[in-house]
Amino acid sequence: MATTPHLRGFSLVEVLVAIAIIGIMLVLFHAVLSTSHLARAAKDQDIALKIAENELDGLRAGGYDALPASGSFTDSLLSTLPSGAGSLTVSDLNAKTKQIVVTVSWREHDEIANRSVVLTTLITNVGGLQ
Amino acid sequence: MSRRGFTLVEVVILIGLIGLILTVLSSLFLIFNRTAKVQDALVSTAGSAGSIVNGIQAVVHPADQVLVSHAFATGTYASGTSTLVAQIPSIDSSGNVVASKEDYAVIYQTGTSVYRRIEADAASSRQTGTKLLGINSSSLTFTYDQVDFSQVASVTVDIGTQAAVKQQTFTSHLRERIYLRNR
Repeated sequence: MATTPHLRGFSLVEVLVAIAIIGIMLVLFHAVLSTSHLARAAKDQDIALKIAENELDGLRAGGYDALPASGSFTDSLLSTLPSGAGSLTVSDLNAKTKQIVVTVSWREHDEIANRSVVLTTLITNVGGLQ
Repeated sequence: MSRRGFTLVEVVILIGLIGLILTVLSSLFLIFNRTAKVQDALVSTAGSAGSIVNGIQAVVHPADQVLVSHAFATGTYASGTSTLVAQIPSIDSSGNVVASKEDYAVIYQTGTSVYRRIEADAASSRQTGTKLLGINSSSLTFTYDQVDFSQVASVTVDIGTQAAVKQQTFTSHLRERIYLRNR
C-alpha cells in the first residue's frame, strides 16, 4: 500500500486558477488587437467631423437666402469613409431663422450599426459672409 | 525508497512544452510589436492631418486678407499652392480688435513637416513664434477662390499624410474649404 504511487488529479482550485490565467491572457490579447480598430474608427470620426464642418461653413458663407432644401450633400471626402453618406435638414426655427442639421454617417467594416456625426447650427437672414 | 529520474518520454514532453510556450510567447510579442507600430502610424497620419487643418483654420478664420508675400523675421514667404501668408487683425487680451494693428501668419512646409509662424504686433495679445502643426505630410495644397490674393474670400486646403510600417503604407487625406471670416 505504501509503495503504490499516490495518483491524484488537479484540484478544482488549480483548474479554476489555470482557466482564469488563460482567460486574462486572451482578454488582454483581444484588447491589444482591437486598439487598431479603435484607431481606425477614431480616424473615420475625425474625417466625418471635418466633412460636417466643411458643409456648415459653406452654408454659413452662402447666407440665409442661398440655403438649400433638405436632402443629401456631396463632399470629396465622403468616398474615403466606408459607406459614407451626408444629409442635411433645413427647418424654420422662426420667421427669420433657419435651423440646419448636418449628418454624416458611415459604417465601420465589422459593425452592424451605422456611426454618425451630427452638427447643428442656426442661420438668420441678417449677416453671412457675402 | 526508490529514487528515480525522469523517463525519456517525460523529458521529451517537457522540451516540447517549453518549445511550444516559447513559440507562442515570441509570436505574441511580435504581434504586439507590430500592432503597436501599425497603430502609431494610423494615429500619426490621421492626427497630423487633423491638427494641420485645425492649425490652418485658426489662421484663416480670423484673417482679413491673404497677402501676396510678407517679410517675416525668419525670411520672406509668398502665398502660393504650398504656402499661405495671411494678415490677421490684432486682438487685445479680451479678444477685441485693436484698430489698424495687424498680425501676420504663414503656413509652410519643410520636408514632411508643416509649420505655422505668427508674428504679432506689439499691441496684440497673440504670441510671436513658430509652431509645428503636423508631421508626415506628403502633400499640402492651397487653392484660392480668386486669382487676386487681395480678393480671396476662401481657401481650400488639401492635405495628405502618410507613414510606412514595413511594406504597409498608411495614408490620411483631408480637404476643407476655409472662409476668411473677417474679410
